[in-house]
Amino acid sequence: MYKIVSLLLLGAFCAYGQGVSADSLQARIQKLEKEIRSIKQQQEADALEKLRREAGEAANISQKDESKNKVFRTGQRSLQAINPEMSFTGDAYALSVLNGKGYNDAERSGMGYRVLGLHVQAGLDPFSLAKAVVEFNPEEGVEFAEVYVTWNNLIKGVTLTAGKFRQQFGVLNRWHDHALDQYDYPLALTTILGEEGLNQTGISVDWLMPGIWADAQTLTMQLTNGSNEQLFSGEAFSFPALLVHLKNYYDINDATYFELGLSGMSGSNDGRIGLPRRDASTVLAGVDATLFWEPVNRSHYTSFLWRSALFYADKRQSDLQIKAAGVYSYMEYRLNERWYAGLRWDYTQPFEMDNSDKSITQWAPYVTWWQSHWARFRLEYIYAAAHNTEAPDNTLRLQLTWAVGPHKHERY
Amino acid sequence: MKKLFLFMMLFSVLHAGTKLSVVTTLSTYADIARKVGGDRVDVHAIVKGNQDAHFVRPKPSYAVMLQQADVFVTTGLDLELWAPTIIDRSGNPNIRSGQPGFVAAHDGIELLDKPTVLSRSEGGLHIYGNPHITTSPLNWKIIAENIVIGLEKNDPEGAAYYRERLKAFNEETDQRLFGAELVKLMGGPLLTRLANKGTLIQFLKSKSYKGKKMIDYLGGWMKEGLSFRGKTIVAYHKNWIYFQHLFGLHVLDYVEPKPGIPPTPRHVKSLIEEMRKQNVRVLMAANYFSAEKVNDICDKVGAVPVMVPMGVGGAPGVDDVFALADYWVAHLKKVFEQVNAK
Repeated sequence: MYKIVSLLLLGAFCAYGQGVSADSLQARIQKLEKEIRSIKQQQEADALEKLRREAGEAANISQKDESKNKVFRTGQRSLQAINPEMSFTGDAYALSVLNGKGYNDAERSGMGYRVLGLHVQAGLDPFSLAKAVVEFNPEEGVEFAEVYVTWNNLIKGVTLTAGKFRQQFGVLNRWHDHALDQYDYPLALTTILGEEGLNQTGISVDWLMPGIWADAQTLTMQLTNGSNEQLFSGEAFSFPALLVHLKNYYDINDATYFELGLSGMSGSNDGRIGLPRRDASTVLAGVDATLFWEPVNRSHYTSFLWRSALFYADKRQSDLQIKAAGVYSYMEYRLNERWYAGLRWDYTQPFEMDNSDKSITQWAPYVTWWQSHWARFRLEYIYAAAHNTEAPDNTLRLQLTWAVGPHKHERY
Repeated sequence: MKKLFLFMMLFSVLHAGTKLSVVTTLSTYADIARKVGGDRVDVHAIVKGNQDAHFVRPKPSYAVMLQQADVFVTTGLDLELWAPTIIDRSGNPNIRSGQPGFVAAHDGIELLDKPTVLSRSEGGLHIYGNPHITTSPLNWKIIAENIVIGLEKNDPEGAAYYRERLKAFNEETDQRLFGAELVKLMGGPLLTRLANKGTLIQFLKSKSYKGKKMIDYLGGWMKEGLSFRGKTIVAYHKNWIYFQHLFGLHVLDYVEPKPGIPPTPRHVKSLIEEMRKQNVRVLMAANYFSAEKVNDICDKVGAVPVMVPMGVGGAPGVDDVFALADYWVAHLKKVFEQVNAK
């Protein structure tokens, strides 16, 4: 650069020395200055281009395998990646039956496991999803707890399910027992809907309705075999049962929601053989309510849940009639990242005739400690009292529930 | 006047009806969707900026949002594991995986922290790699491109409009990241490639242009970040990995003993000892984690906490992605100044 400028100045000086006019000299100087600028710009552009090239080289990742000695392998017998999503859940306990003897007809103090569940799910094809839950139970052996296929794409907002499934009567009947907030289903549920709750084979249509009087409403209709032995036809389940559930969901604010559900169900029962339909029918009704609070930015540390439900059953067989009602209510508070504490109250009439002055009441305080998202301990005490009927024994139970694999709950 | 007003109302109602309905999981995706979608989109997010995206309850009202959505934007990895449930419940076939209304924001981003051992003994591992992609502004440009592809599929007439806005968004992101002068010299894509590879600062330090070190042309967040580049911090959870990679931060350890596992007293004790030993004085955490826990650790080692939102809207004034990165960088810079002054 110095040389160029010197040459230009020398040229200008020579020109001056040769008697060139001042104007002409000025023009030549300007021309030369322009040339200098142009050369400088070109040099800068070249430098920038070089920089960009170097930057490009610095940013390039070249890991191309140049080896010619490749080994070729097939993946045709290694398609395990498309196996279904599988997980196991375990549910074990240590129990103390507090009746002085340490046992009763149903349970004995000691340790045992309630169930080992195998949960499998996968997309069947572009149109449907299959789910199966197989339970290994020490008393009942292997049982298909749920096996069903769901179609989500039939009509916008409508989901169709076919198979055996836990039914949408209230909230908790839909859940598996390892997912419950207490060890057992509420007493009203097991007393009125049967020990295992409502779990029958049929079809279910769920319609996510346009919100009319709530932020979300779902209407569920389920037509199933009436295979529930206590309420319907048991083994003679060719008489169907129809369930209708309307869920009304309200977002009170970002942290709080309220949900109100109404359930109704009707079907013929085991007195249907030989009797007119109206003389052998069972009608169920239920109301459930949930209030849940969990601040969005404290969801690891605190929450409050209140859930209650009322069950009513009316089973007629000719002149015989069982009417029973039950209710539960529980509250649970999350104390911190690992600890929850709760209390459930149960009240139910026994599912038998002439029960108008009979009832059982239970109180179940409990604490739950989460070791991690996949392992949980729970200590639960059950105090039971009865009026004109036999009360269950009081118990103290330590429960361990765990899940391996991608198991997750879809509760909210 | 009254007629004109009614006409304008009618026009705005009709016009509103033609907008694409976009639902996103994260608030950061929502902001990017608004920036590239402009007036042609109506955007709603499910996860708040100060909420942990792992643990969102699949509420029925979210299913209603998705039922009405034309486009659903989600990370597409194992971050929002609750998303398939609300998609199923919505009964909206257009937003299912593989359909035109489904956008997987991560597509095209080189994922970091891919696990070599797939076991729960490693805690809440993410099997495809770390899904917290929004913590690097470099990734925003890929996310924006993915969102635009989703918008174009559902509103082909708006393609030119979306592309124009995408270009503007990318340019602004580049300028805020690297400074206008350096972007003018080198171009955003080239700087992005260097930054992604982790060689940008080294390259700029080793080169000169017009008699000036290239590093002196650097501006924006990357320049601000030079004040904490190469420094070591402790983090609460592994959700800053893309930010750390971009800004050259080292992480000594995490408050969680393994991802997703609540801190145990033994782990916290050993972490405190290690922080003292290594003289680490900054603890960074998303603001949905326990401030009490973070402050307690910081008090014991004389460290300074940096509790910042993960997403847009997660703190006052953090109204868009640019304000979000401003917030992250400014807070870290200030904290390191504080620490250095001690």
